[in-house]
Amino acid sequence: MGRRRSGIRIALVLAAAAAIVSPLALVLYQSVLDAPFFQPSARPSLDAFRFVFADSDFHRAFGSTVLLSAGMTAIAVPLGSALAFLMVRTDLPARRWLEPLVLVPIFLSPVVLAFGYVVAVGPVGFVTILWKKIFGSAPWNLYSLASVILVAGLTHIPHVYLYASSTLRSLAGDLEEAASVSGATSGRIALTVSLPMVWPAILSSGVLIFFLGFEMFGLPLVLGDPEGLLVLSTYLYKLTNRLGVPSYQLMAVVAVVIMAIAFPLVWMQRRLLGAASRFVSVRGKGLSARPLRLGAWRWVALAAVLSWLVATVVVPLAGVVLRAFVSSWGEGVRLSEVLTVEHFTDLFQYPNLVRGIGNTLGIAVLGGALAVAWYAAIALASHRWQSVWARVVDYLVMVPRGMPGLVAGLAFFWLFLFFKPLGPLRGTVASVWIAYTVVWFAYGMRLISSALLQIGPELEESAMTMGASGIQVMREITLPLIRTGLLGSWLLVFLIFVREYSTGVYLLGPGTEVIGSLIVSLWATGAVDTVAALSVINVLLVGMGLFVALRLGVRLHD
Amino acid sequence: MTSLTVTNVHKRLGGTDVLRGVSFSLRRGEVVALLGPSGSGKTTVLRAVAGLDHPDSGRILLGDRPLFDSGTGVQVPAERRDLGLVFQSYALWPHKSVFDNVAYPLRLRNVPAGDLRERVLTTLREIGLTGMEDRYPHQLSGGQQQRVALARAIVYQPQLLLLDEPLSNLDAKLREEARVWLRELIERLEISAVCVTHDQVEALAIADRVLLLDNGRVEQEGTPEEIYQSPQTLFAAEFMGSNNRLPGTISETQGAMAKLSGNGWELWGQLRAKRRPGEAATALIRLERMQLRDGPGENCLAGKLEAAVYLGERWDYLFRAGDLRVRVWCPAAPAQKPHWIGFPPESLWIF
Repeated sequence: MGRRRSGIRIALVLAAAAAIVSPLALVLYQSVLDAPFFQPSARPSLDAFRFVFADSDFHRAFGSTVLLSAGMTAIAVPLGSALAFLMVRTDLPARRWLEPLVLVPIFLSPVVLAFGYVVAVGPVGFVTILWKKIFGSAPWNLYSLASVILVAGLTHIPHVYLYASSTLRSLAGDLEEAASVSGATSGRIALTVSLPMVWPAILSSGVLIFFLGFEMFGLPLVLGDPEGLLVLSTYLYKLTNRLGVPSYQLMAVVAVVIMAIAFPLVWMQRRLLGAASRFVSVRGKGLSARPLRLGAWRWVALAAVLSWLVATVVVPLAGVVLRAFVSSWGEGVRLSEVLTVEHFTDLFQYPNLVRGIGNTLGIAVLGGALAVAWYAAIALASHRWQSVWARVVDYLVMVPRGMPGLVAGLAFFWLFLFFKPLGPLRGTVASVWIAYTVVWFAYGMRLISSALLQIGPELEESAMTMGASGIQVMREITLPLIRTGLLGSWLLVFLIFVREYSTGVYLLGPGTEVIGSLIVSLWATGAVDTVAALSVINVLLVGMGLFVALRLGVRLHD
Repeated sequence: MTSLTVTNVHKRLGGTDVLRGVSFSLRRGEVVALLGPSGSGKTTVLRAVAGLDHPDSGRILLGDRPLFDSGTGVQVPAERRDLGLVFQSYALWPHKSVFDNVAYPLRLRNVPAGDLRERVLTTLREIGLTGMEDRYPHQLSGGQQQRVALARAIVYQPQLLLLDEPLSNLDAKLREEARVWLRELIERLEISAVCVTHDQVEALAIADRVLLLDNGRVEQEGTPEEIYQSPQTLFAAEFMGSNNRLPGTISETQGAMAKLSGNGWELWGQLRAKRRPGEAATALIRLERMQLRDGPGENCLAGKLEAAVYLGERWDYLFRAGDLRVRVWCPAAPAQKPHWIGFPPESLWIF
């Protein structure tokens, strides 16, 4: 390995480390000061911790967050595992069609979904009104912790499904066949062979869901607000308004609390995932198992999966679309009288909204490509690198996972505001792009490394022995071989960047608008018409991205 | 003139010694086979020569040029060693056609286009792949892929060709053909080659000289005949061929001969290690040296036939003689009872 090449690699790793660690460090530093960190009078102090820990709102928010996390885990894990089992191991009808569909909730923005639920099953939602017409009264209350838990649980089923199904798929069918030949019944095989092997993956997805619950922002913001329900992230978001003055140290403390819970969970999930892949690596031929015949139950199973999709995708999206094309909605309103496209034409009256749409597209398309290039550069730098630096990258990947988008956005906002060399970036889309790229670092790295893993080391080594330098090997062997993987990563990063909303919340300002953060801030002002129109555009962009990805045969997961 | 000199190469990996002082040299135009069981370190030696693995200590010279020297800190990167390496999996680049695969090393050497085309096509012709240049690796059979990999490794006329289990991915019939073909090609091109293999037949067929590796060091070195016919250790003797192994005790020695006794049997054999009467020893004999006799005689045991397997060109018998179980290869059908099994003393090696 040439010294110059190592130099470039180390520089790349250091740059990534700086981008990832500096916001984290700034938040930690701010949390132990008694004033904003840029004020000369700021002194080290634990007052902020004392204040937050004594605040009864914080206690309530913490309690709700734990309930939310536990509740959504209890819903998503069994249902997600069941879905994976149905899709991978049984003769469920229309599996081929369902496969991309069940992943759609992952790519829908939670604020859009939450807004859709408000419009569909809220107190004056169209489903609620219809129900009341028929049955007299609606027995549910959308603005309750139970509803938030239910919606969160149902929309996180795909996350569990991803882990459980990929493990189920990679388990060799011959392992089960061996058990059946030795005389085990199918029930016994499921309990003694299949489940123990899938268990670490299920457990790890459970941990994942639990910490996603701690970071959840959009759903509790929209659904919890009307009844004053707070979780940690919305408590953080409301802190500024509540005290009247920007209380940096208090925000930092809440951010630190969220991360202090998330980091051990991220680490735990990683360990469990490692345990899960232990079984995967011993796979034999795989994919040979005969699907379990469900008989007439297959139609029941299909109905269950479809009704879940209706509840998590169709109902909220139908609500969003409907609301976007009516001038007002409520009891007694007739659809034919209120239809309008004005909300969309109105969007163009506001330069900030037009900019927001343009910025979203720019960040997703161009920014997505740049982000993939950046992830690829880091991944290639640590590719087959026998060095401690490669381990550093391994650990770096974990940091953004434990840092919720809202917190990362806040940290970057401070960084751009008061770190002079970065000043010129403030107020430009570049600041949002940087925050997005860092927040999704782990996701992007996983996309690229799964493409790199496909390449046998000897394909690169043979070029080396023939006299190709490191750069030549990368340019002519490695990159061409991961080309389709890079294209797929670009599309997935596009989808994720279109969907993202929380990271942009604190960075929102003239010039840095994106659809996601605009929806959050407009929702607070009650501009429902505009929120609906923007939501439809957001969903359309996601739909277009998904369409292209599926047409090109991009796998939505690895 | 030596082409490659490997001196006292050591390598530790994860707390175990993978190589414990491997030394050998290769003359120009010579083919050496590194033979050994899996885990013997043979592939590590090859990768160290290629520059893909770095030894902890030792020295590797290509001609007079140091490739690796722990004494002076020389470590030439793989891409500047100018060697040809054929991988076990062939490592053909799936995104390049046969022509581009073979042309790649020439392009790295800035060979002008016209000359490059000429050389690639000549090499493909030599290797029997004329007309295949526009195909992609997945459109070729295993045997053709192996030839492309070889063409790619020799097209730039490296001083030394390294082959990692070159025939192991071919099926049995093809492997036999490829063995002869590969030997013939190496001779025709007059290149030096190091070939790693776990298959003794492959090693014997291809190599001028065989290095038998075990546990990270060279157990024995010699021509194929020497390795097969006069192994110096029990490991070397046992690794080659198919053998009967008779554990016993030395009861008597006479010059180079010794008598080995077990429970109800005693046999004379050639003493191949320092053993005194009373010491435990192991005798080894190749199955094709075993004899079936009509009646009792010298160095002969009575055996009870336990199993007979017909293998086409020969029979493989399993006899029980006292507490011994011995196999005998014999071209004829089972003879009449009782069976008398002869152990020619010059072929029974005692270690």
